[in-house]
Amino acid sequence: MPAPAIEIHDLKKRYGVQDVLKGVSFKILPERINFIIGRSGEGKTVILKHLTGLEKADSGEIWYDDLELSQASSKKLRELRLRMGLLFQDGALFDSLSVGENVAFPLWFHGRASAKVSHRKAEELLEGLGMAGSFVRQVASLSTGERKRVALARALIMEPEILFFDEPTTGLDPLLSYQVDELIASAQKTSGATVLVVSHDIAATLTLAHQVSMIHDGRIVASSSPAALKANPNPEVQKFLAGETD
Amino acid sequence: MSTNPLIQMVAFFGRLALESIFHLGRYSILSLRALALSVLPPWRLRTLFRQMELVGVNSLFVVILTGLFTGAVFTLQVIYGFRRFSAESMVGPTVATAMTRELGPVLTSLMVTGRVGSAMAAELSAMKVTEQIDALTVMGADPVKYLISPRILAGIIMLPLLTAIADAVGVVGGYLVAIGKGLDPGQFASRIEDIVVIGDVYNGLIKSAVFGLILASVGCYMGFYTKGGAEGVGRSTTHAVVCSYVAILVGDFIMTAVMF
Ligand SMILES: Nc1ncnc2c1ncn2[C@@H]1O[C@H](COP(=O)(O)OP(=O)(O)O)[C@@H](O)[C@H]1O
Ligand SMILES: [Mg+2]
Repeated sequence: MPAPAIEIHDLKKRYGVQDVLKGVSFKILPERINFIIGRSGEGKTVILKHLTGLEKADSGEIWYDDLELSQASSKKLRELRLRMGLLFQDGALFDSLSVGENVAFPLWFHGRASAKVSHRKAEELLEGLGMAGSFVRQVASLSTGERKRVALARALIMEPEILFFDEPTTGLDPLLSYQVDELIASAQKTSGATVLVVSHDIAATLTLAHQVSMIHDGRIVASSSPAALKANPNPEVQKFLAGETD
Repeated sequence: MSTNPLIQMVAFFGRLALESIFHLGRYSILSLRALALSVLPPWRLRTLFRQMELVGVNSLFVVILTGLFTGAVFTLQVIYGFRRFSAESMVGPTVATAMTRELGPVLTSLMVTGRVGSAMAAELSAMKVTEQIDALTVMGADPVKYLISPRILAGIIMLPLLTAIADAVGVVGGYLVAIGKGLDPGQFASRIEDIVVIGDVYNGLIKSAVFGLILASVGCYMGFYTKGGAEGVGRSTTHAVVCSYVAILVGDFIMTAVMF
């Protein structure tokens, strides 16, 4: 199946008294690298949770081609999820499993590959992320940056056609950040996946992204190519680009 | 909000009732779904065996100790009473009946709740707050089937086994105390077979299977719906133990009234 076109219409979500999403609308370019930027606490992770069906919106629609998420049967939702990979902001690694078992888990769980093949694939991915020989390590022994890379490998192993990355390079040193960015770019290029990255890294955003959307105060205030974003007159956008995050 | 204390009290109990109904409903749905999913393929036997091992191994020592001392102390009390009526020959059967009908199933389940039910709640709630359960969901792995079904099945299967061990050890404990107290060894054992009917043993084991279902499903429920950080983990563990205890004792009363 080709990577789907994803569209969000007027998504609203309130937690208690806090209005987090006040009407978020934007399109995700299919088979391209899309970025969401915005200060922390603006609701970027919340958007990803809605896109993956982990959270239910108060109102609004999320379309995957001609499937609307809130109307999807649980079977359809499951099928859709098999086409997705999500890197959680904090990794969400299974701490009862070793590093390698974590990475190979999706393949093993869905019976997509023999134990030997999934083991090899997991090791290859780990190696590409500078974690050769970590297969048998315990998750508890990992540093923040290592957790992130293991989680990244787990998101990639099924070679999904929709990839969501929640701050893939936050907490990594510059060299590792660069490697992870390269990996995301090359994974997208070879698979033609639709990629959505949540990021604080302005430099990476401007070089990697085909499209950048910025969230501010519960709404998308800009959604354009990086070049057009730089020319955007909105002061919030300019403040963010100038690095005045928080 | 009214300041009238009567209205406030009514409101309080109203909220309490509503909340209880909410939890009971959500708990029932989760448990029934987990049970239904456990009979549907694909069966992950390795996961089930792993849970059975955890339930069994974690509890075996404490169950043996509990059985031994319960049988022993119960015998002490019974000997003291029965001697007055020269009914020493009834000590053995009385201890065996009490162990298999009541003390074995109930005390084993309470001990296993403390060891295993609480551990299930802690494990699942830690998985919940670190988004591991969300991660399973996004991977297309139903966390109820993958995490909860095997735990509940393991509880149902292992509790009768542990109870049988506690029953046997309890009778042995009683036997040792009886001998220590100068009872004739043959006298303790001889009438057990005549008086303890096999139905007592079976009913006790059926009870313990129900208790196993209760302690595992309550532990999983509390863990699965944890909210809010590390504090939530602690809270769900405590709730799991307290709610299981109450449910086991109430369930025991109901089953005993129906069975015997
Ligand atoms: N499950 C939740 N319950 C209550 N508040 C939440 C929940 N999830 C997110 N929030 C709140 O929504 C806001 C946006 O969070 P998030 O999407 O994580 O921000 P970020 O843009 O940094 O990823 C935060 O203020 C957060 O506290
Ligand atoms: Mg976030």
